[in-house]
Amino acid sequence: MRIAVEINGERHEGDVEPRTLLSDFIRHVAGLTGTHVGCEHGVCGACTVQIDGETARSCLMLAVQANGRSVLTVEGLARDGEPLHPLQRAFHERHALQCGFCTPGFLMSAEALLRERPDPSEREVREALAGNLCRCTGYEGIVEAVLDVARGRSDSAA
Amino acid sequence: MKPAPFHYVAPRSVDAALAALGEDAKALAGGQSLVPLLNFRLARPETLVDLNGIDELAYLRKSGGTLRIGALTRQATLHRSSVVERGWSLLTRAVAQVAHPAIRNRGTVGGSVAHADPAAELPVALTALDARFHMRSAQRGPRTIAAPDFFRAPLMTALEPDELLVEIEVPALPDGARAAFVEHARTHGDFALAGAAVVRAGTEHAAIALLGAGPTPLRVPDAERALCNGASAAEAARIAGAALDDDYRRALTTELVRRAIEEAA
Amino acid sequence: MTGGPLTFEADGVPYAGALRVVDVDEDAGVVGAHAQARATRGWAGVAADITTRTGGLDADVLLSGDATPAAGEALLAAVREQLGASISPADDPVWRRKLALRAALAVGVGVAAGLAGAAWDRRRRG
Repeated sequence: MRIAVEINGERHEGDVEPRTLLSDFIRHVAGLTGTHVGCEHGVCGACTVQIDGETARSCLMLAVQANGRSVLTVEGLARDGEPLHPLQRAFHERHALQCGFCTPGFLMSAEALLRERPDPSEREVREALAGNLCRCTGYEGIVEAVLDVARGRSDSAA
Repeated sequence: MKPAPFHYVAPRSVDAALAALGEDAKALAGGQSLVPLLNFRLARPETLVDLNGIDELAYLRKSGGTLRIGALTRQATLHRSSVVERGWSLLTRAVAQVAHPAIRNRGTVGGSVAHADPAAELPVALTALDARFHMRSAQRGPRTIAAPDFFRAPLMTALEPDELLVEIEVPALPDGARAAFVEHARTHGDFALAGAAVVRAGTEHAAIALLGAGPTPLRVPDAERALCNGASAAEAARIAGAALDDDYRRALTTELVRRAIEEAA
Repeated sequence: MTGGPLTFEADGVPYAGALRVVDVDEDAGVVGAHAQARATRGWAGVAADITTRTGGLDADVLLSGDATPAAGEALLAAVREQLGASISPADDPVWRRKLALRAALAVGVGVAAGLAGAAWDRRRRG
């Protein structure tokens, strides 16, 4: 089946089987490998993207279901040559990533959280991110980074 | 791994979906339970019927005091609804504990009900609310079944292979009814080990449904009657927990019921 | 209708997001909806919980990042456009039948109430 998916504002066309997962379309057809595949059954959150601004596990969607839809991946947070998104900068400053495998999924979840809840409590941050698993950091830096951005509320968040 | 090959159809109407369903055709709603099974190849349907294009199946409507939930309503939408929170806050509290936001954005109310995972929250909450399930098929026309008869066994419901759940009907509660949904899971959003859904309106109405106390959601009428007769939360919880054989689960469930009754007081 | 993608411009930046119809209270004649959008450059976001009555919108708008109130206004304008000129549950076929019946019974009362409601809504929207 021929499908066209808008990813980070750009149109990506391709031929897929119905069983092709959206995660594989993003990575192998669109060539955007920032979205990672961890468990392929929806529990680790590494594959989290946004569809029309709502988070979703791309490993649990068929590529054909994204036909005509608008997808955001981690590459869409800041293009080459643009400054890092405040969340990316905060993750860097708070040591919220080590191997980086879970990071794109966390960024997608956190970006959506701050849009719906610009001033979350720590508990709300932890609950909203509980579906993203990290094996390296122990989560504290991640939570602090998200709260930093929420409290700073602008590009000058430290 | 990846799913085995299948034929894919995306009907735009319920009638078209019904024509496509059958023994070798599986309905795809939110996909949050089915696609993992496809990815593991535990499910290998010949045909996948994608319901997500059927707009007529997604709605949340309060009419004449009754709540009608279209089967394709997203769990996140249920969570957002102020109509649901005002009239059936048990659902708001239960769906808040279903998995995580990304799952709830895609997962549907009907899908959770039709999948009937024994650890799922929505079947338990809907059982406590005396929900009725409306189904349709191409061969037999519409059927309506109440919650206790709808959930048959873990992952098994009254739905035939060619049948589609189209609507969940939830009757009005007495004025001033309060609710609580308490579960125990190792981390927030994990599959729950045990849980309790409680709805109370003074001594007029009490409903208690247990998660994890049996193969399907379990109402405990003895405990409900006790509450209406003025029993304390602890006493009613003890009666509810007596349904369980296992010591740990009985202790856990009894405590969860007690907390839920107190929260809903 | 269930909703759909939203695109608009505010503060010189393109925004993209979606509108989702959440619930219909036929007894009260109110439709609930939710809309959200993010700037496609930089960091700015806007989200709104919306309730509609015939003639207008009530909205709780949340701004994040560099989004200004202009982004909130632009979001609501895009929402109005998608929901249509007469914002009511009238898209719902069951509601539409009841609406027709009520309209036939209460024309005079309806006109007076509508004028008062429009004036009240102008104050809220302004």
